[in-house]
Amino acid sequence: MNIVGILETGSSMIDNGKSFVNISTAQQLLKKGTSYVSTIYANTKDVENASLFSQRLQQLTKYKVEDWTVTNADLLAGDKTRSAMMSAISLSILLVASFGIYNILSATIAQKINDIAILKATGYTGTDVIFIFCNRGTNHGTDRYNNWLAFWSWINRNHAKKFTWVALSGIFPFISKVEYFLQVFFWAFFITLCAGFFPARKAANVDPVSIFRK
Amino acid sequence: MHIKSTVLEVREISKYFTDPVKFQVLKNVSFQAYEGEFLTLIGKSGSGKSTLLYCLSSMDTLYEGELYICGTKLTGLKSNQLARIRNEKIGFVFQFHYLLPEFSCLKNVMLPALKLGKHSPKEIEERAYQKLEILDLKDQALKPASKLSGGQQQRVAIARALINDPKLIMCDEPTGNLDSKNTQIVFDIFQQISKENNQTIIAVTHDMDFARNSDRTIEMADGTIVSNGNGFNLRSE
Ligand SMILES: Nc1ncnc2c1ncn2[C@@H]1O[C@H](COP(=O)(O)OP(=O)(O)O)[C@@H](O)[C@H]1O
Ligand SMILES: [Mg+2]
Repeated sequence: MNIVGILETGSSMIDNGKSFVNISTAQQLLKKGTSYVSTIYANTKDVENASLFSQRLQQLTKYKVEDWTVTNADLLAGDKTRSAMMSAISLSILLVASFGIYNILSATIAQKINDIAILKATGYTGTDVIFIFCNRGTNHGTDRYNNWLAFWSWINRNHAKKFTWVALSGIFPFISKVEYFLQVFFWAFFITLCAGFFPARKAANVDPVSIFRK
Repeated sequence: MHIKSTVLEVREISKYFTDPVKFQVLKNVSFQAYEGEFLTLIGKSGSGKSTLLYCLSSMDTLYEGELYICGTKLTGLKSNQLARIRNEKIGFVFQFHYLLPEFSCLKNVMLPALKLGKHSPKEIEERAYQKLEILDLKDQALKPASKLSGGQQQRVAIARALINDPKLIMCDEPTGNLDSKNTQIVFDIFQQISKENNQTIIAVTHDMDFARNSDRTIEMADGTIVSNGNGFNLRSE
């Protein structure tokens, strides 16, 4: 038998413990006939559809059909934990960032309390004041979103196709789904709206007379 | 003398401060102001003039008694309703020229009109230019308010008070920080708008000449009105 090539996956457990031969050689080694096959692997076009196909195939055959989500249940469970942790980390970052904006706006409001009193004296309502500061808040939010988008586009253009040892595909797993962008925008908008709303509500209740008396 | 309609009616207004000790600042103050009248309010420092003016302007709602502006009872209205009335019917000029410092003079003048929303922004800008012109400030329109002198800022504040053509203009010592030349300018403007536009002006002042030349003067002492008009109105004598 000749070695005709070496395949490296990057995982030494696989690389040191596995070799590949064509199927008739394998049948000869096992001293079985040409009709002997122990396992058939099949790819579906869409990985998410695998379990659906396995159900259908199971109806056609008496052999055991198992899709990859069942085979790799432990890996998938790990994946779930990992993404839960990612969400928790993202959420903490989001919270820290929004507190930053909350502080900026609280300081602005303290500084502009005179101006707020003037606006109220000339007929602007508390709701107007809240609107103004929520608007400032969400401006911060959309600014941050645009920065993120610029960074994302840059990294996608320059680094997405670079070879790394990440996963078996060898390149960064970049997924550009519209819903991801919408999600990012929603959180940026919503969290900065809150960061604007709470200090603004305080400002809206300012009594102009108490300011003018000072 | 022909009868003019009442723009402002104050019925038995009393007000207390509780901090640091309870004391009565305003004691059953009652008076009326008529259309096109230029009214001044005088009295020693601490006699309650500013406090009264804040009540009349609807910004201060913690008082007893009743307040009517153009026939509408303001006492007991919600703060958003009061803001609306203040925006439309009352122009207020503060003792210290309170402008938004980063905004241009033009924008400062436009603000109450933008809130009222009766005209398009384009028309509002034109009207703001007109008001600034009346106050001889047209060439300063695009400067930030903080870059103007005290007298100029005071006049911008007056232009802002005029922008919505309010029935009532209230001023707390509008000339307190002005030299005699600027005081004269402000006086002439008040005289002009009360006579030509039939707007009512109530101005707190320390300046006796200013008071003497107005249509009527109310004098306050210790939270009550001690003299109302006639004796003071030297112009009719
Ligand atoms: N927020 C307040 N708390 C307690 N007392 C006040 C307050 N504001 C004003 N005063 C008192 O009320 C009185 C009237 O004040 P004010 O209306 O400002 O007088 P004027 O404008 O006539 O000089 C003064 O004795 C003043 O000390
Ligand atoms: Mg005063």
